[in-house]
Amino acid sequence: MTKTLKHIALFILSAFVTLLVCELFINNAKIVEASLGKYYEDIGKGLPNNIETVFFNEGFGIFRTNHSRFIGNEVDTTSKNHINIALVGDSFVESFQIFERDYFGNIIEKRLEEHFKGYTFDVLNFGRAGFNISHNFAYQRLLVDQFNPALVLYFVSNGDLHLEKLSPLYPYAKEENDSLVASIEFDRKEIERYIFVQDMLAKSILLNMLKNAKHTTDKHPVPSILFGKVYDWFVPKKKSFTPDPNYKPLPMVNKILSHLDSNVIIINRDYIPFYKAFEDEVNRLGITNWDTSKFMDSLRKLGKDPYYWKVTKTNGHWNQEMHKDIGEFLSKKLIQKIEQDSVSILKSRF
Amino acid sequence: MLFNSFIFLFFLAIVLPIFYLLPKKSYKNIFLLAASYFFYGYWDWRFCLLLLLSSIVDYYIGLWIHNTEDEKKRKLLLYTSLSVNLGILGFFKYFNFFVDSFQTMINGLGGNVDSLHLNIILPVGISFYTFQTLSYTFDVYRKKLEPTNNIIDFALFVSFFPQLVAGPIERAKDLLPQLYNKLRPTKDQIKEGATLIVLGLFRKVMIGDTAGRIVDHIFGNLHLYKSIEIIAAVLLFGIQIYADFSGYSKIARGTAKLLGIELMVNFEQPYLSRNITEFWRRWHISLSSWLKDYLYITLGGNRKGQARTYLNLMITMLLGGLWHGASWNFVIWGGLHGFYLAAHKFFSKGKTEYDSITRLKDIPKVMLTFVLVAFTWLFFRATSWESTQQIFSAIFDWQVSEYAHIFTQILLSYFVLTFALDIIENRFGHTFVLRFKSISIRFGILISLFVVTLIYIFQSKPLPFIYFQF
Repeated sequence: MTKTLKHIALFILSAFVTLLVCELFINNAKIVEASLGKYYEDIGKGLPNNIETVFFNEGFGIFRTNHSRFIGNEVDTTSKNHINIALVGDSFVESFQIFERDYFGNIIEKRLEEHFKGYTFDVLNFGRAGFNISHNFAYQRLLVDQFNPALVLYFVSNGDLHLEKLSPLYPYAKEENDSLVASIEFDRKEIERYIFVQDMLAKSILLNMLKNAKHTTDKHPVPSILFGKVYDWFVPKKKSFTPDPNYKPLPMVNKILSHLDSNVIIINRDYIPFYKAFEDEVNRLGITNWDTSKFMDSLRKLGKDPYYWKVTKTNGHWNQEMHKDIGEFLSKKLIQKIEQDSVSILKSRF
Repeated sequence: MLFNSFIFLFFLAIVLPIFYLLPKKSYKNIFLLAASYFFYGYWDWRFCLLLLLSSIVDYYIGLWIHNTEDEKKRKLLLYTSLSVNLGILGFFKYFNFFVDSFQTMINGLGGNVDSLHLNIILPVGISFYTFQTLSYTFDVYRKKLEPTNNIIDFALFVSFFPQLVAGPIERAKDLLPQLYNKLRPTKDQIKEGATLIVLGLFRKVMIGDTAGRIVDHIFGNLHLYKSIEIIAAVLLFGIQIYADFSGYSKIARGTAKLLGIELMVNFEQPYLSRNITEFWRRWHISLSSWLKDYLYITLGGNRKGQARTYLNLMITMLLGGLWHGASWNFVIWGGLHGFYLAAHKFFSKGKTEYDSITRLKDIPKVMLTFVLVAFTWLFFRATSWESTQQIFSAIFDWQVSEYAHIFTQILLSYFVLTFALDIIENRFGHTFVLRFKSISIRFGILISLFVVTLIYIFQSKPLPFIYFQF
């Protein structure tokens, strides 16, 4: 009996020490990124503030979050000749795949400052993975507007117009007495569960590895991970998503559109054009909208697939070249827009 | 099939029990041969045809060389084997390199040659098994080895799956005789085999692959990165290639042990070397000893005077570089090592004996050797002259990185773990975990490492071994 207990104790002890060494190595070598989520009573699930993270996916990203809970440096909200432009959207805007310095927002900032001498600009990254147009709207109301942005750019694709399923614990647009408000009403138990999981994940990088493994199973069926090519021999690949040609905007989407501030610009961030019905509604309401689909298509024709990552040989978010290209593309658009609306945007600062 | 994939673990889980249950030597060898061809054909079944061709040619040539005393005929047979094997290797690996170089040269001189570039897929591990079969023919020709008259044994010698695609490049005199007997692993072999597989997988996946992610991103987009980041990538590549290749060799040796076969040790903590000559005795030992025995010594070795010795060293290392790949960068890499070796030979006046244990007092020499080797990795990884130029201009035109502290931390973490593991191995052997008397401690360590590695493999795409491309 004593001998068995001794064996068990030695096993546990040696396993613990080994895991501790692995934990230290994996954490310090930045092999696995710590979970990037934190629950806030005022905005729901957001990014932790003041952290620096290394991220690996189809790309390789390093970025810092500021005190205000988004990626980038602290923001000036007081200077008269300083203008903030907010980018709101999903993981394409968030851009964990690249170094912060290569972010398309930085290119826009640079070009605007070159063009509008005497002004300084901050292009703020309010992207969050999984955001749709409802989350964009609510996030703007709860967080983005605190920074007094002159323009708010909503990056949306057709997929973000299907609001049947909202990402959990993200703020969302909710109808209330004929008006539209930003809501963070969630089941308390769900919040507590999330906080508990995040606390656990903060304690160990190995637990984050387990979480990532679980996350992998959400994207790929377990047999395909285990059996690789053998699985492909027997199971045909699923067809890729094709947009619904008969799409009609949901009442909630229409409601969001009709409640948007005049400084909001809607940008199609995909290579597939917006649903016709949605585009018509946006135009009917006179909302500025820019379509990047033709621009992206032209890049593809030049052999520059915006989604292809040559190093990891995968398709994913915008690659570094696309960040550069979209940065230049949007800079031109923004310069035109700011010049057109100079009275409301630039002069109102004085 | 990659060692660092679940499918390989399933493959082993099927192959091992069947292999153990088979009663006769011949059944076991036929089964292992079939498993090896399946393993190789998993990449592309067409590669198996080349393997088969190489096996058949060398099997019969070996027998014919042995059966004739006519020196002319023996030489002719040897050249036939060399032509077939090096012809296949040359076509698949070097055709494009030479025609592209030729085209560039002619066009550079004002001529006009259209591109002769062919779209050729390089069969995985072709350089490894070609060298292995060549060693057989050489040894039979030199009358150092009796050829086998069992084609199954010979075909298994060529295609033995644990070492087929990235070595160790086994000598026929070491591996073939083991295949003549009924393979039955001992208890010690099973213990050592399992330990080597776990330690090798951990090195390959948790050190090699993870370092490789950073290296690949930086080398793939050099224009995006700052000086210190590029230097970090070069140093990390040194860690990556070592963890990747030594990890692979450990898994190969471990898997072979589970089948009752002993393969040669391919790495003996090379980064603990105190000089470059020692480095080459500890790094990719199976290739360096092959080059020494079949190239350097054939060229005359050190028997033809000092100048010729240096020349032979240089030729050996240049060809060794070219063996790695069809690129001038590999030639430069080989040339640098040749120069280092010649310089060391000159300054040490031929005294190259060393103590196998690296000690604290050796740290400055170890560091200097590492820096010299790391510099050569720059050429090895850059793969093209344009990339090499980009790296040098990034280093000389210094750009400050806002992430220098992160890269320093990452580098330190990899260095500390790699050197710590090497120091432990240097003192306590490759299966150092088995030095613990308590079986519970052994299990505690090995299971933890295995589980951590498996979780990582599960959440990320397995990266191929760097040396597969060679």
